[in-house]
Parts: sequence; C-alpha cells; structure tokens
Amino acid sequence: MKIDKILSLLPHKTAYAHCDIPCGIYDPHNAQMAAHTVIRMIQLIEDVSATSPESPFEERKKIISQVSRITHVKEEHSNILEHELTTLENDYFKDEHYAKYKELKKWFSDANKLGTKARTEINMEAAKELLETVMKIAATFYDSKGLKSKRVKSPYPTELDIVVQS
Amino acid sequence: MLLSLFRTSGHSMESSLKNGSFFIASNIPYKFNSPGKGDIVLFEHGGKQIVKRIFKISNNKYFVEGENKKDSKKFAPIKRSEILSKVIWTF
Repeated sequence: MKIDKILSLLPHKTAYAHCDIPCGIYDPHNAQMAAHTVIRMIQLIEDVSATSPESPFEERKKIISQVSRITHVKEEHSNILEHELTTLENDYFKDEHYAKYKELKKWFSDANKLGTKARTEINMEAAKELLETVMKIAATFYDSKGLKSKRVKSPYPTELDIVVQS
Repeated sequence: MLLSLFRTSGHSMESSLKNGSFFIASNIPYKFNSPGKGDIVLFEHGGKQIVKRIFKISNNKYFVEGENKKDSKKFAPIKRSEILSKVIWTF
C-alpha cells in the first residue's frame, strides 16, 4: 500500500499551494483524451507483428524501435492522465462533493491503480476499465456543476465512448 | 501546533511539494529559532493555510513564494507573527 494511501486515512488538514489566480477552470476532457490515447497506444502495440517467429535482425530492430516510440507516447499520456486526475481530485472536488458522491473517492483510487497497470503493462482490459472510471468521474464533474452530460461515441480511432456536456 | 499532518493542494510548490502529497509541519522549530531563508512555512491568508518558501528576509519581514515559477503567487511580505509553522518532513 503506498504511503499516501495510509496517510490519507489519518486526520490531516489541507495546505494550499495554489496559483496566483485560482482560475477555477477545470475540465475532465483532457483526462478522457489521455485515457483514449493510452488505449490507442496499446492497440498500436498489439498491431505490431513480425513476418515470422524467426524474423531477420533488421526487422526485429525496426519492431523494437516502433514499440519503443509507441510506449514512450503511452507513458507520456499516462502522466498527463495522472496529472489531470490529481488536479480534479485535489483542486476541483471539495469535501462537499465527496460527501455527496459517495463513490467518487473510490473512483479516483481505482483510476490510480488502473493507471499504473495500463502504464506498466500492455493491458487492454485495464486501459478500458480506466477509461470507464474516468468517464464516471467526468459525469460526476458535470453533475457537480448542475450540468447535464451524456456518453457519446468518440471521434477517436479507439471507437470507444466519451462523456461530454449535453 | 506541535505536529500536524497536511496534504498539499496546488502546484506552486512543485517540485518540493507535489500536488496531493503529504507533509508534517510543526511550530517547535520556531520556539527556539527564527524562520530562516529557505524554510518552507505555513501561514494564514484568506482564511486558508498557505504553504510557501521564504526567499528573503528583510526588516523583520518574510518574503515568501512558491517554487514553481509557472504557478506561483507573489505574496506581500509577512510578519513573524503570521508564520504558523515550518514544514519539517515531506513524504
């Protein structure tokens, strides 16, 4: 169990290290985009194939280079996703939100664990479950602002859904 | 406060204090010594406890700012009496 998880269970206060003008501008869209990108990168990795089990060295070098570059992008967007979720969890959502939306804290915790799996493994199931969890957080975000939202088919090659304001 | 556990909210103290990270603060160090340049301190502003680093001390006033230059507020210098505690341990 990470130390932060243990510490979060202890009584603690909040110390603010905020920017000059707390802009109040938050949006779950970037988190969803990052989750879609992680899925897309896993799709691309899974699509990489060799011409044979004993493919020539030159071909294997190309495959390694290709997978390395895709993995780099997956890692980047896993970081973006983590940053976006941390901002929503700690900066946007307040105590009253967590009191109202009972599962919200658990969703952030689940997203953290799934994010680690999706980052460190080629794990499509974890990545898709991560997107589902991020979409729940997104829907809660809109609801917390008194806005209606809906799930629609995203325009991305993942061909999965995204939550948008309706 | 002797010892208190805090969670950081915001990015202005990154990389020392990451958004969402925990730290322990105490007023004990300042029972015997004055706050010094470089100390990360807690003070009250607008009803909230703010965490920043002291970057200059002049005429008994403490100038504080965040470490993240992209995301940091310039506060007016604060008085010794406004400093609540010192960050003594980060996780």
